[in-house]
Amino acid sequence: MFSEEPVVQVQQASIEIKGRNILKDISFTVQKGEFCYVIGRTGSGKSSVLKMLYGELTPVRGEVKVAGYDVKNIKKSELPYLRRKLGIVFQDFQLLPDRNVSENIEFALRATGWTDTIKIKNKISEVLMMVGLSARALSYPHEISGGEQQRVVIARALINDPVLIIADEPTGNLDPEVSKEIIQILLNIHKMGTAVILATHDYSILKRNPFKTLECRMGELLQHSQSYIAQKSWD
Amino acid sequence: MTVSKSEVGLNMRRMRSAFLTAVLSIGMVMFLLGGFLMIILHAKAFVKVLKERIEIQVFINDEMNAETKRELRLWIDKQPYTKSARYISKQEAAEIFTKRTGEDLSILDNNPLDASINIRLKSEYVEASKIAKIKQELAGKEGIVDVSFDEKTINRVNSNINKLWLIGSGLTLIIVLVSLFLTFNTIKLSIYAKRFVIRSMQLIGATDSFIRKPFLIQGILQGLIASLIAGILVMILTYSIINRIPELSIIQSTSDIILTLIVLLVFGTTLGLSGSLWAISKYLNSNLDNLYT
Repeated sequence: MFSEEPVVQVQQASIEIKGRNILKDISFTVQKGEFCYVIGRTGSGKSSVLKMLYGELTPVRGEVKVAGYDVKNIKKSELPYLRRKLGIVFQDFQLLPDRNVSENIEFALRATGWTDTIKIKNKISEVLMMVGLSARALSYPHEISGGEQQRVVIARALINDPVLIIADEPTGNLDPEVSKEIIQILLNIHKMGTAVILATHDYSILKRNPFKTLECRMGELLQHSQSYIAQKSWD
Repeated sequence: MTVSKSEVGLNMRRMRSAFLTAVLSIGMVMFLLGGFLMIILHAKAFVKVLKERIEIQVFINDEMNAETKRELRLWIDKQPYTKSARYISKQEAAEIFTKRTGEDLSILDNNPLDASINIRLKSEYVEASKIAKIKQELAGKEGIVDVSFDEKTINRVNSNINKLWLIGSGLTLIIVLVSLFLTFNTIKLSIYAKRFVIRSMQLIGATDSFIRKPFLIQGILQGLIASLIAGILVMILTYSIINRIPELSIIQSTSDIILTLIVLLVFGTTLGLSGSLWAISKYLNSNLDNLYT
């Protein structure tokens, strides 16, 4: 199934922030279309792993390859093109308050080089349908719920057909029912062949949907198989 | 991440008020700068008028015939340093002397005063060293008896003008630095409100130039509007002062006012543009964690 080159290849990478060691000699891969969790306590380095993947943090050692880009040695001018191959979703990812849902996505499309108006319209319809928000296209961010806003953020992350969705605690501010809906959308995206890395501290998600899990603990990254996660008691 | 209606309203009001605040503060700085520039330009014109009122007296041999006197006068008129020249006959010299001293020279058998040509120099020649050279040149001319000028007054005027220019330059530098500081900080604060939007755009995959563009246009607009308002206010103020003090009309110059307007527009726009460029680059190069501090 995973015969192609992995979407993410991390080899012996170490992350430091302001001289402080966060994670040391971590190695993992994420295959095309794979779903993977990143868990760990607050401050354990979950977000740092994700930041390293989208080029926000440069590892001090090791090799990091994401969507064909050598992230450790990537030029600043190449970062936008790496990020167009990824879909990044996190709690504080802002929508433009003065534009409606459709315009928010249109803005993102134009920001990433789309110019053809018909193609833009088609893409907006496509991604809004994927997240079940077609009826809310003309609503402004303040007119929709938190869960719906997060769905818009996911729709926006899907505009360039990313090979990988990186979601950093996307359900952090949402109630359990809405969280389930968001996770379901991410699972649907995964089923359509896009790899997803989801950082979370909500273990009930893992219990319901077990997948390979990377655990940040004491400066190390432990890997747990899907079957281990399925059997583990999270109580 | 959730955006509430009240937050949106607040954000929109903040953005509008940030734009207006930036225009107002840049405008105030530009008004200060424009006013000061106007004072400097008028002071320069005043100094020119003052210097060109200083005369050197060229005493001539009264026995020269009228034709030679006319030729000498024409020659003086043609010299590059001559602003204007006036012939004072022996008779006129006596009248001026009587007016100044109250002594009547008519009681003497002969009028002892020489006729002269009084030269007003162009301002750039009003320096003791340059006048000394002019004096030397004139002294060698046939028919000229003596050349006289008040060296002490000229030196004193020049020395005071130099001091004033030094103070003026210092004040200009301070005003320019203060205007840079205030404008840059105002623009930085107006962009600060949008730092998370900038970061979101970066994470979507927008290039830096795409993100920069609207902020630079906004900066140019802020600088342009602010300096235009400031320029109009400075112009109104200048004309109203000149109207109230008619003596100032001798130093009034439309070209100076136009120059001030152009300087304000260019400086204000450049300031808006460079301030925005600096602030946006700061946020483009910022680490995500630093945006929260």
